[in-house]
Amino acid sequence: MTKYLFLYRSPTDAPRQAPSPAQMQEAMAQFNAWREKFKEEIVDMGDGLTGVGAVCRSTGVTDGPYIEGKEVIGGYMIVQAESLERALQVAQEGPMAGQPGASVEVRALAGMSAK
Amino acid sequence: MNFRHAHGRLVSILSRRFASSPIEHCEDAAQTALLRAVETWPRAGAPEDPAAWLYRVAHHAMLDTIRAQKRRPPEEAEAFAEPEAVYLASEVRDDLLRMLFWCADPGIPVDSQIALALKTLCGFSTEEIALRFFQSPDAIHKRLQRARAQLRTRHDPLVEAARVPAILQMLYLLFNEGYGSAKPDSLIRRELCEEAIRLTLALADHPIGALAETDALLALMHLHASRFDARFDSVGGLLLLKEQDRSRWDTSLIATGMTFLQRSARGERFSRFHVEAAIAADHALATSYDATPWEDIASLYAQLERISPSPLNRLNRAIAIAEWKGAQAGIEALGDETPLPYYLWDATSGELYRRIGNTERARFHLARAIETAPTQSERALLEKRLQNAASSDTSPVTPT
Repeated sequence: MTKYLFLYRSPTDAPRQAPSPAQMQEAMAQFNAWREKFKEEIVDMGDGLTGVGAVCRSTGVTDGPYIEGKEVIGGYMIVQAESLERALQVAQEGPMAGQPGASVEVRALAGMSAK
Repeated sequence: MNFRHAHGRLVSILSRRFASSPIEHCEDAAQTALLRAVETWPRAGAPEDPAAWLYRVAHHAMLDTIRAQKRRPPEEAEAFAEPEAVYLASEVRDDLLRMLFWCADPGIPVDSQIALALKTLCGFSTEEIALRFFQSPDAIHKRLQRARAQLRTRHDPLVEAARVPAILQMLYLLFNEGYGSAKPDSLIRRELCEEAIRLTLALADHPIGALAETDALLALMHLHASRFDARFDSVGGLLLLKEQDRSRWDTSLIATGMTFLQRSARGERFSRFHVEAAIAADHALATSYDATPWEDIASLYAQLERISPSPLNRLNRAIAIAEWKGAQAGIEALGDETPLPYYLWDATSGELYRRIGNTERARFHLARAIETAPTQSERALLEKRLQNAASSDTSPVTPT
């Protein structure tokens, strides 16, 4: 079993239309169904990331914005799976992957801190 | 938990507790709370008391908004600093009712009243309302803005029992908007009917709204709703009353409707809702199309015409008479003049003339009906009739 880090990215310039209550309810139901389906794989629900933070370098600390790109990481999760294919399936069936412009980066963890 | 209803509850409570804040701020705060729930509940699990959790978050969102408004004194926010942790079911009910009274302000058009109720009490977004009313989101947005601006001051209208008839009328129209065939998607139309029933039940549950007329309206809604599924064929086409499989009518809705109808038979006033509910009951209880008590229905429509004169009531009476005494009697009941470019009038005339063998007039009326029919499924139904106009089979002219 390998662990994978899921990095959830979304475009910074996406026009954010507020979802309606019915859409929110639907989104939550989808998320719950997905989590239930892959409950063996999802080992750490992770968290969302706020906009608060800074970047530390040898030259000092830079305040945000610390991402100069068009995408921002909005959250992470840790999933364990027997293969990359399976991990990708978990990611693809997740509600986040369906959002326009959004992406899930799936990276195998090296297991360096594993005992 | 139904998020739309939760939204309605939150807006209702906030609009009372923060009576001097604009209603939009209450709507935004409710939205914020629901969004927070979507973000955190799936990860952390839903809280023990989701309603109280949502209220707390929405309450704090209101405080943030008030504090952010520099023009307003900060003590205003401090006055509300502690959200009351619990609220009673009766309090929520009163708040919903207060909101309903507020929406049904006779100073704004009834379409705006309905849009406002759908937005605040039923938690539909502007886009979702636009979809249901075949208008652009922009038009609905403007309509809502105008309505809110006009209703800026929210005095306590619960004392105004006089507004109950306006609310009943609004809920009746909301139900018809869902039940009437001017919308193609049966699923979203059904939602409007369900919301109308939900709000009418809330009204009936309150001493001010618990009138015989409210019960009659509930009877009418339940009896009509019982046919919801049976009105459509497998591809979504409309089915006439005669074509419907009566075993698909929802008997529990009919039973509930009959209970409300019995309960409505009290007091002095015999409202139009009473008459319409009695007509709906005649249809709902008939075991077959041929068993429909047309004579009774014709006399009920005559009564309805006296209470609320309208070409539609005359049209429906003529239809009942045609089924009872024959097409010629129906044509006589319709009268000569066409009162307005109303496609049902032409559709009915066309069918009745076809039955008495006047093919020429039948074609004339059916062609004009097709021109003005509001939806594709209705046009399809009429075109089928026009093709059959020369044949001798008799189709019913009754509505669905």
